[in-house]
Amino acid sequence: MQPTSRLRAPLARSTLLKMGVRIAVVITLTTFFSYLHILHTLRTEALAHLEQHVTERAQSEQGIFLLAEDNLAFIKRALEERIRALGPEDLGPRFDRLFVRMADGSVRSRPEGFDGTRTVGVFVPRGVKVDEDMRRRLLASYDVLTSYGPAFHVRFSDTFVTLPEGPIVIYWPEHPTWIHDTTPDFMVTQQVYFSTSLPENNPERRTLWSEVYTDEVSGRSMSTSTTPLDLDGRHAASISQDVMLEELMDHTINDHLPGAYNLLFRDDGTPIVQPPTQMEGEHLRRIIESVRTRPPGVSVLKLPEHDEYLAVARLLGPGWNLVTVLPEHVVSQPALLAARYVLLLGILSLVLELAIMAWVLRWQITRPLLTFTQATDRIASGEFQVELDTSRNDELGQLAHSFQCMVDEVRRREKALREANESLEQRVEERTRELKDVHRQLVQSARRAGMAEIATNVLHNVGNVLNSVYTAAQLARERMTSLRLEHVSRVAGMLQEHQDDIGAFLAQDERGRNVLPFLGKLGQNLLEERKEIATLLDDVGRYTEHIGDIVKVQQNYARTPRVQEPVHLEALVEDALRINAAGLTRHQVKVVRQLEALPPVLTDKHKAMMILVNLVSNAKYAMDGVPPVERILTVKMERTPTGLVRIQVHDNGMGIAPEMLTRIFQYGFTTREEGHGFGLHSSALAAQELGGSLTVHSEGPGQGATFTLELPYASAQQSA
Amino acid sequence: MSNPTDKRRILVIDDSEAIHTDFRRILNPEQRRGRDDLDLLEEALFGPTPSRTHDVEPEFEVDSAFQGQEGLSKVREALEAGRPYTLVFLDYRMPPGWNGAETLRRLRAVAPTLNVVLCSAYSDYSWTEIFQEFGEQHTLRELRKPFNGQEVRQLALTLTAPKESASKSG
Repeated sequence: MQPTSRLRAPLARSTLLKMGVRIAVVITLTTFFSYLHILHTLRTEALAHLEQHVTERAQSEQGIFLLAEDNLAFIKRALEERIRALGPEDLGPRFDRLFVRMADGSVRSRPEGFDGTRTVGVFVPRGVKVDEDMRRRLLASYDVLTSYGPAFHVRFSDTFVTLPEGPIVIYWPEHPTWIHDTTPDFMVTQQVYFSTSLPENNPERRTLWSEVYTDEVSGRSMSTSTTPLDLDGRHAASISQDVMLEELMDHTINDHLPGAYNLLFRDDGTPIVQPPTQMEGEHLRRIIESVRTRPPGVSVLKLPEHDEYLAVARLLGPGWNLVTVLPEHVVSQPALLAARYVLLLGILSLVLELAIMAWVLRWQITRPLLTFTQATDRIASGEFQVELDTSRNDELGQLAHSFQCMVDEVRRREKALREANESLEQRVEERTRELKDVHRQLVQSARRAGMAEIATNVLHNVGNVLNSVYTAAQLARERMTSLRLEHVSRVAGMLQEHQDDIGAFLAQDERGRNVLPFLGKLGQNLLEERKEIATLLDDVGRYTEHIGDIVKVQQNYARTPRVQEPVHLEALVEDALRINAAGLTRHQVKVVRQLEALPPVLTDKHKAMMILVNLVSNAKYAMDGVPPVERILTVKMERTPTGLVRIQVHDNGMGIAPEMLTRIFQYGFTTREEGHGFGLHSSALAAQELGGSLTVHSEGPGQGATFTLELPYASAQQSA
Repeated sequence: MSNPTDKRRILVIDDSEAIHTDFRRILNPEQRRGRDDLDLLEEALFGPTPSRTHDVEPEFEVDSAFQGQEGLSKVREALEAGRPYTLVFLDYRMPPGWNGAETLRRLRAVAPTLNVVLCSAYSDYSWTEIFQEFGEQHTLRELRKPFNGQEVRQLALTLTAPKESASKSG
């Protein structure tokens, strides 16, 4: 009895398991929602940050371009004023003092004393006609650049003015000798940046930025800002400043948000900064496309195809698009990480909780329950001394209290039960004894009743026959007393009186003549009377004999039965029929015998006889409803293959309903008014006592019935 | 006296043939053939013999029924014919049909004042119960088998006598 060791699902473990599963579900859900929440927060923050970042970057990067535009606008105004302000004396000697036509045909700054790091240089390609107007523009440009060029040099490497005809005026301290080194056929109008100032390319006459190119001289990436100056409706000059893009490119490529990368391209999609080399063209095209087609005012876009966010800012000035691309995973990664932390913490707390819970359960529930179990085991084994902790104020305390009460009650009841049991045994014994007595009495009365059945028949039969004996005897006596015997002596006396004349007396005397006829008649009368009396006395004899038969048969069976004696069953059957003979005759029952000849059998003659008499008597009554000519009683006797003797009493009478077949052997069961219900009951009992059985079979009401008595076949010879 | 209508009608209801013979033997002593001749000769020889000739008994007409049902129908027929029975000897045990009590009950329904003598060879019924039910002692008597011929004859005479003589003798 170690239930705890056999438990496959202890309470504590299953409770823990259930709680653990529930908490785990809660933790999972919490983690999931935390993740969603963090992801959302992070994304919002990231996008705001992204937008801010790109805007700030754009603002900081676009400064140089705005500054260049401001510079150009300022120079443009100054140049225009200077052109108009120059007088004739400036165009002649001063021009020639500053510039000279070189041997190669070009016009350049005079080389003597020229310091390119501080001086503005002038170059007019070979073949370009230098007229007064050109002189004016060249000189004005020279003056203006000389005035402002060094100031701009703080932020810009060079400042220069080109004329549509090809000359160039430039302040470029980094390359002081370029003005003299360049070939005489160098046409600045062929440069890429110049074309942006042509009227056909720039009808609005705005400041425009060239695409990025690598300067032939310095070999650096740059973009050139150029503003055209029109005078009197004619393109007079273009003012330009170069902006070195290395820094911008460097910023764009290297200075990015963690996980993000930057792109810089023009509206037409031409990249200013080469994108990362691993980037697919299709990817880039999509980005550019979504940036170009974005609704106005929108600066943050989602690129669902590549799980990326785009923040767009426009660089004022060149109008380039600065795009920061933030991959989604950069945003979700921290969310995932945070969720992982939540999950980890949850699991940790779960484990901790379960551990604490296990501990609590073990001390608060399992151990007390174990105590209860042990207490129960002890009680089951009959030991009622259990000590439970009833001092607790919780349910277990209550349980312990109730348990204690229960134990006391069980102990009390067990005691009472044991006492009751003892007295019960006694009572049962008494009752059994009583029942045995009753049964014995019952058997006796059933047996007596069986005998009473025989006695009733006998007495009735004897009574009836005796009646006839009385009557016949009485009549005989009456006849005897009324016999006229006295007349014989009177006639004799009369004849004696006339002894002497007897002949005459008989022949002639009036009285004497009657003597002979009287004697004849008297003799005849006496003979008749004697015959009558003899008949009556014969009847008496016959009836008496009949009574004798009846009594003899009765005597055979009314004796105290011997247990076993050799019995000729055939004769026994005949006796049973004989006892019922009067009734059978009266009821006009035809008896058919099918009796196999058997040697004497050891059995209780009295009991067997009683059974057979009962069966024959019952069969006789059962056929009352059948027309007399059809009443047939069949008695059959045979040995069965199973070593029994079977005697069957069959009638074709009223039959037995199926529900009656079981009741028919019950004590007191009868269908006849005069019946006492003992017959079949005692017969069945007797059959059992003989070691055999009495059974009945009937197809139903009106189908007749067969009673079968089976007795053990114990041959008298064999046992003797 | 030879007129059959004067005879007192008695019905015997019993399932035993022999009992009917007994009743007839008791109630109808055989008419002795040639008795008249012999008596005449006797008178001629010895003078009149009053003792014998005075002993004139009423004659009974004895009918037989072997079952209660048959008995009832005979009683009913006799009533309808205007020649009712004055006395019935009724056996108690007459299987398989009605027993004595049942037959008596039905006879009473048809003929309430009919005298009945209930016979039995074996007292397997309670006479007290019978009287409790039928309660008319002067029309119901008991006769135990085996019976005495004189007793039967006396009963027949008493119970078949006209009312005034019955009250005298009873």
